[in-house]
Amino acid sequence: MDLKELQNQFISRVETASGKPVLVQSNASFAGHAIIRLATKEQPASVLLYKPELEAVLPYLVAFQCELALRTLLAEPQSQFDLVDRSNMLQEVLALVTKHLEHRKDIGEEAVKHLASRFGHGLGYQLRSMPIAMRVDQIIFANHPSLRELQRKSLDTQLQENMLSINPKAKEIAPPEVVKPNASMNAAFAKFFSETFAEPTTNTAVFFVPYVAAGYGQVANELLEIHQNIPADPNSDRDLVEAWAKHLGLDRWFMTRSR
Amino acid sequence: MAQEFIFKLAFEDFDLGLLPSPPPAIGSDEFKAKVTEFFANQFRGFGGKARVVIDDAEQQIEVAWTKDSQWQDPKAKAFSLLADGRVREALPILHTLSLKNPADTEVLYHLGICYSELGYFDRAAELLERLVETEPDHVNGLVGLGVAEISRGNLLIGEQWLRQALKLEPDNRWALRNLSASLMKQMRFEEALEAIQQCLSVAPDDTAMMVAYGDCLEKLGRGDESSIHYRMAIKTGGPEHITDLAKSRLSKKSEEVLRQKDEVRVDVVQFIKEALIRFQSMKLEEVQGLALEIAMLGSTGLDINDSSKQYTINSLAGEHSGLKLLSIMYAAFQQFAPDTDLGIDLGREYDLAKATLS
Repeated sequence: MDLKELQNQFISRVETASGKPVLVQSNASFAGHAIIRLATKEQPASVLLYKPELEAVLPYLVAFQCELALRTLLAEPQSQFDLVDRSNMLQEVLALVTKHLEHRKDIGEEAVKHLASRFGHGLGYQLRSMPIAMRVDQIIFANHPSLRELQRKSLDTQLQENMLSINPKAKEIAPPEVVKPNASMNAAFAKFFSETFAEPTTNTAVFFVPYVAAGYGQVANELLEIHQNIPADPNSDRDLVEAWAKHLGLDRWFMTRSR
Repeated sequence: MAQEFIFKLAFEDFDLGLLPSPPPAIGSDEFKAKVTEFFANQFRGFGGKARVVIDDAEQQIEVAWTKDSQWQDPKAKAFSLLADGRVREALPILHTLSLKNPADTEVLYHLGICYSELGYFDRAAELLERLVETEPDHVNGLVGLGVAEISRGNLLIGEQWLRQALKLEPDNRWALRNLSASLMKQMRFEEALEAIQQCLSVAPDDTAMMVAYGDCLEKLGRGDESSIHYRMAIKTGGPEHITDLAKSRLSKKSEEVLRQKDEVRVDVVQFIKEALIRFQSMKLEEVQGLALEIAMLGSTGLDINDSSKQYTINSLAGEHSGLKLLSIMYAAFQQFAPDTDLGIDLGREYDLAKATLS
């Protein structure tokens, strides 16, 4: 089966599980790599958006997003969940960012609000997606060897981007309460992939070295231990996200809610 | 993984617990050396190539790693940056390399030169002295040290280092060049002249030395011999600022001759007066064209003190002396760019010519 066929097969599985068609669209203004937006009851189709620059790894991106969607669609109804902000989240993040940037006269009030919203929602999105993404990538790695090269290529890019969380510039604009959980999750993600792709020729372990140097080695191990101790089936995803949130102290800002 | 993998870390973010106890003070030389060693050890096992750069100015560590076989190692990268004149970028790489291997004299030399070029002469002298202690026959190191000491104001110490370089390599043009500059600063013009002559014998196209030759002769009271060296510098060409210097020296000399008696030059008043009359029937663009044509001719040297020497230009029929052309050019510039520095002041003559006309 070539990669195009495999891509279509993933899409068909989501269409069958959801009962609605999936439209794949490139979008230059999209900030992430790719995302699937499952159709609500009222919507006629689900949409999978991806960045046009990443066309070369599209079969992997489609596989990843579809596998992620299938985890939600195939989970038992009582296990399906959303991660939502607690009422204090934005207010507290804004207060922290405002204090952190009080000496930066070049950053106006509106920009501070914008940054606080971006940091807060960014942490929530990362908490909701990263531990599950690791499950999904493990499934793709184990079951679809033909996608491995694209998977590795895409992850290389992502791991390099994640490195910005320990860059000195990140600390300049974000308070430690944002930087630390963000870098901790990235450290766990890097270690996970350095172990998943542990082959003599790939040297993915290099991605974990910076986090060790920056003092995130221990927290990465702890998050991965949680990851390993919670069953890998979709019905346990909620427990996994809640456990990470608690360990990182993010449960003060986010909580899960049944769908 | 073919792509380059890069990350940066602030000094203060490095986990000191990873270094042998007792941990060094953050930012100290020991800290930088141990951090560099830590990353070198971490990446050694991965194959490929790693580059660790300690950036003192930003107080951060940059690490790059790749499996690309064409990738430059840190030393090659630093030297390639230096070859492109990117001294500031090369400096942190060289600094890191010297922390990693303080005995690497090649790195020590380039690091010293970098500091010298950036104006940190104390640091440059310290490093280059360390270099020549290890390698007393390092001629370029001795020259660099001499230059750094002279730049710090230690003229005699600098001279000693340069002379030591010349003992090992008598024809080293950079040693000779800097020695002559130092001797001129010390007003030892006879000795400077010797060094300049020797330098020109090994580097006959060194226009800076030609100008220095002229300057030395002036200081030795042999001003009548200096013009030829300034003219030679102009004719040889080369760096524009040196050629401009030679031109300004010639203009100054011409003005000195012109003004020997500090009297108004009636001939110049007459030239300017005729020019002003001529300008009345010319458009401003034509006046500008005339002025620029004379200026172009003057850029290769107009002799204003020898009226037997005649010049021709397209904008004005006939043959004209250098002084006449200069007077016309001066009058022309007053019409459209009076603040231009023409290297000679004919203001008194111009005012008189204008007064006569009005």
